[in-house]
Amino acid sequence: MDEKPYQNIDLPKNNPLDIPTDLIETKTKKPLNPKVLLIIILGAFIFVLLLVSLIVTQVRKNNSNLFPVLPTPSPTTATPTINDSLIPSPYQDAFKQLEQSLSSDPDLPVPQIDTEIGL
Amino acid sequence: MVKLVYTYALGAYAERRGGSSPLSGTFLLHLFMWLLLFLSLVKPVFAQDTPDLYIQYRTDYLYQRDLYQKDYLDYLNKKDTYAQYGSLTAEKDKITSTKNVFLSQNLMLKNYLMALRVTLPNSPSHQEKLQQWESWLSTQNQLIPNLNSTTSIRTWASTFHTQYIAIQQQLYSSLIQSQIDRRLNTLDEIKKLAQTAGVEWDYNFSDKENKVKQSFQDAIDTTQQNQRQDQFSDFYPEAKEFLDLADIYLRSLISDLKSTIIKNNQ
Repeated sequence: MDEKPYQNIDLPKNNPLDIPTDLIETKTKKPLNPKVLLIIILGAFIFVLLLVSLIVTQVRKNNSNLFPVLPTPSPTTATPTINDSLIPSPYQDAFKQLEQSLSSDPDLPVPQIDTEIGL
Repeated sequence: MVKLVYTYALGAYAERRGGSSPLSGTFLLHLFMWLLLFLSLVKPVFAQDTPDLYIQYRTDYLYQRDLYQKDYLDYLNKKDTYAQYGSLTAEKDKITSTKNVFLSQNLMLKNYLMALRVTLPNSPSHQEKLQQWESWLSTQNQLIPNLNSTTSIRTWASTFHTQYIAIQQQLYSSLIQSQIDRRLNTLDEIKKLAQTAGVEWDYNFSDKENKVKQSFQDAIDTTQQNQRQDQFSDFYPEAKEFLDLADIYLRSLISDLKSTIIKNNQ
């Protein structure tokens, strides 16, 4: 079997430390793939959104009144005020009773208990 | 004067007959007079009216609520003492105070349900369910004196904790129904007044009547929410908003009826 002779590293073409200059230039000048560029831009955009959302969440936590919640207006029906003396006398008492019955809810406070007793 | 003479005369007659008899005329007269007096004073006994019962049950509830608060404070004290010293006596005191607070708590709840029940004469299904819970609470109060260890107390408290979610659901549903019934009664009174005054109801007010009834239905719908197993989700505030809305429509109805009556009488 023939022995393979060692390569002569002194030969300029086979020296791994000697990188040809034209090869380096072509690598640096090669433009980025547009798909990769798009992904990088999108990634950066998502990262910025994430940062903004984190900051807003933190600010909201610290200051809950940043966006003040206004009470929802309850639907109302305008009730004109009527002078009761204009009502014919046979009906005046009946109207008084009706108004009283609307304003009197039974005074029965709901019991409040501690449900953790004994647990 | 005439009566006195008559009485004495009867006495003399009895004496002539040879002594006073237990059935003498004076005795019979007195008996007859007392019988008349009794009949004039005695009134037939009727079942108590609902307002009377409500006042009685409400008073009982408020009294029982005060007792519960007193027992609860005592329980807190005994619990702290046990946590501090951990002695057998302290544990025994804690068990006793826990049982007392359970008993007064159940009585308070029962009295509340009873007071609420009498406000629902037109809702028999609610009455029946409330009565079932009243019976359950009474049964529990018979069991509580037998709880003599921390473990048995914990078991009972755990069972109660689960059942109390269902009690609250029934309690608030009945409370809402009671308030709806009261408003329905007012609506009927408005309609009767309109009829008396000769105002045509359907033409003038049926739209607002429908809105009132829709608000009641919305309030009832809130009571149908499914409950979690470990916690009661309170639907009363939401239902109260619908009841308040119904009040607005009812006030508007009253106002409209006033205007119509005034206009018709001019």
